[in-house]
Amino acid sequence: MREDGLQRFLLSLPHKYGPLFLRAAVPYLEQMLYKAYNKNKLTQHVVDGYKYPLNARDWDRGLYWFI
Amino acid sequence: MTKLTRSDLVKTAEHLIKPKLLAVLAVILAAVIIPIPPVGKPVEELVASGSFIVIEGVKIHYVDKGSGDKTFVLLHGFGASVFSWREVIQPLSRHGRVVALDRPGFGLTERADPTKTPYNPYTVGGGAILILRLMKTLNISKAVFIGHSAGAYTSLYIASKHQEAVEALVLIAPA
Repeated sequence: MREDGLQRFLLSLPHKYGPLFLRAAVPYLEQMLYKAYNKNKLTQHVVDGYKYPLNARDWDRGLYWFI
Repeated sequence: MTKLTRSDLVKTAEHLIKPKLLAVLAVILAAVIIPIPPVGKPVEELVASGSFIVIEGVKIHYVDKGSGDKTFVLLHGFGASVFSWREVIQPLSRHGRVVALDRPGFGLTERADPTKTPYNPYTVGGGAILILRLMKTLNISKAVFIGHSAGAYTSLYIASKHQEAVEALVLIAPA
């Protein structure tokens, strides 16, 4: 029983902290936009449009679940 | 000069180690117990370019434009959203009905907990089921699937598993 509890606890840690790491990775993820896009077409409107979903509740958890 | 006994050394070591050990344990305990506050606002409070519909407990954001015999379903890639189709939807809607949705995990589609939904919408299979359910709810029996990047992969998956729902495929830079 104690081993099960410890195992469950350890397995729960990535679910708790994985999304937190993704929050911290936003600046790096944003750089992907600059690398993937034709720089001449990358206006502020486009950057804002791609970043707007970061306002959605639990976007970090959603990305974690997707990955 | 006084000579230190073994017990003196042990006491000194305990005195130095214990506070540090306790501090480390306290930090670990705090990290485990303290909940991480959620980020962002509920999707319905955000400025959306489309509408919301609840399918299988997941609030999906989608754009539905135009009409006609032909229907086009647009599936965006990783890290994208219906915003990626902003220059495509309007001109394409002259040729039929265009439905673009934010795939689970992206855009303004609600980040539903996969342990609380009938299936995991974040997998390719689960995402495909959700898209087919959305089509059924919107009275679409068959569509031309236009997928970009990872959206192309989902389009291919749907075409291979649910041929009856696919009229044609357009794969843009498929991943």
